[in-house]
Amino acid sequence: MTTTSNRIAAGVERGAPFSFTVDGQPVEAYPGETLAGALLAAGRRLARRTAWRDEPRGAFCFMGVCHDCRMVVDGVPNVRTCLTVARAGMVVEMQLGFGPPPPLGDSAPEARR
Amino acid sequence: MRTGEVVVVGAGPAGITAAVEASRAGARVLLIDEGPAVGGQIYRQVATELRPGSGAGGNGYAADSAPLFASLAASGVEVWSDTEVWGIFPDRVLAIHRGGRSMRLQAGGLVLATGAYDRPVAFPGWTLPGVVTAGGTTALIKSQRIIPGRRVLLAGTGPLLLAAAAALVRGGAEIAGIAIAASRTAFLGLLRRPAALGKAIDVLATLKRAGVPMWNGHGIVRVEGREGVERAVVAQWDAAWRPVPGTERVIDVDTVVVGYGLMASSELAQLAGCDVTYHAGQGGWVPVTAPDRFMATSVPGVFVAGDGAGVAGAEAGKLQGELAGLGAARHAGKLTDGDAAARAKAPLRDLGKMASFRRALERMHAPEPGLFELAEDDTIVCRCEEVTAGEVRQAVGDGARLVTEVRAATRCGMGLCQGRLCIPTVAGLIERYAGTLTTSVGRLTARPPVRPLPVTALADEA
Ligand code: FES
Repeated sequence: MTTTSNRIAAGVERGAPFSFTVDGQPVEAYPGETLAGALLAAGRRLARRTAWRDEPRGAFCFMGVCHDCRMVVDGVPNVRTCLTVARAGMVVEMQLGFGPPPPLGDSAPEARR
Repeated sequence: MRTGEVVVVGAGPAGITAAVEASRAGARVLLIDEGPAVGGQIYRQVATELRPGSGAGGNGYAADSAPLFASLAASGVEVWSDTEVWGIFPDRVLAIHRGGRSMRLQAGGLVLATGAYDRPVAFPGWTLPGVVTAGGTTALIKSQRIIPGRRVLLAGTGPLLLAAAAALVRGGAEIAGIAIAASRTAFLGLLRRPAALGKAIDVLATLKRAGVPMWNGHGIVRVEGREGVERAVVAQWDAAWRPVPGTERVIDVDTVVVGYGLMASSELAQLAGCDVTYHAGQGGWVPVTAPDRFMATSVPGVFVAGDGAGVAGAEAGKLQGELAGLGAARHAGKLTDGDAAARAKAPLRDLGKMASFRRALERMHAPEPGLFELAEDDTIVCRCEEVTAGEVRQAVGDGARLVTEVRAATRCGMGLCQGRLCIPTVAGLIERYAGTLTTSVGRLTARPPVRPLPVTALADEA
């Protein structure tokens, strides 16, 4: 089996692709994919840079345990991208440290999952 | 407050079986799970919007999981997915978070089937993007049909690692090699069970066909790269899992999959007040229980099953689930003692037959001391709070002998993962630096919320 991307062709029928942006660049995703999955498929591994040592981090556990896949999603920091389903038009950004303060009145992690 | 005759937490193989069994016994059953669909990790389903196609799809365990899902669908069990339990209070009162709101639930009989997660192993470079866990890799492939990288090295021990490798091969990844800590003979003990044997042959055949190099008695030393994985270094390991000098080899890869066994997720059982005991080969602190007591814990009405009760794999988990489901239904007054005992006979007998398989699995998963010597002074131990092994060494040098003392001195374990990614390493490091046995360094006390909650959800509680 040859795959040209990280998406496996066999064993699944994908719906119509849509796009969201990561750091301003468009990323293609398929219905049902998580942000972390779609980003990996697009070759993007960096989710955040740490607060103290400014080190790069990306998804590690893919099951909500490690919190290293956190990004800023539609202005909300600390969203675990491995648990968050991608939606058309989402604005996803690398998280620097603790991220920006959340918009007023909004709830924090995975509020929109 | 809502009440349920039997509430089961965790919809993996053990939890589903427990729920179905309790329902068959006549109890009204609520099954709660934090995932989007039932299945847990090992039976993780393809995301519903990604329709499973024909052929080599599904979760790779279709033959095992399909009957289980069917029996759940045919039962009267009510299923709440996307629901997190963040607290357990006296008399089996659960605090749960569902659809952005917090609520409480009182269970007549409670079954905790909370599963396991990959053992965290701190080695230089383990925080680089592109280093991923074996369980996570398998979950990603099952639910998303996405592979984490193109050229992959795997390092670890146990059947889960090889299953992840086979899934990667089938997904089109190139495997640069598999460094397996256990010796070849250690695997033979696992092959005494026909069910396991069938799967193992399938996995090994896939790896062989693809020409995947398998290095027995080898392990990870470090991973290097600037913004992500660029290369990995593996070496031959001796019996104590210490690298043999002069045997290092450098391998160019973009992804490293790490799987040195699983840790039991026993936080909820601890929160419920269940007595726990330390068992290295079963994934750390596990609830005290016994199959011939329906997997009852020290807390009346609270039962456990599956890997969260001590890592033993899906087949054992289902049998324990049967017992726990019976126990919970009996506790809720739905089953007489005699009926419960009669129904428990078959699963008890089958569990007994798995004893030697379980011992082999435990031997393979119990970490040797070398695993905790990979971290150098500047290696991150706590991924959340960026605490290094050097800082832990300093704290131990200053007299810390308990994981809680190290936490107080370094902030190790105070982050969002609530210590799940660092405390197992801290325990190993205390033993490495001070000789205090891992069994004597204590544990973090689980406190609610055991899952990070939006502030708005807590406001509902007020
Ligand atoms: S990858 Fe670990 S929480 Fe998302």
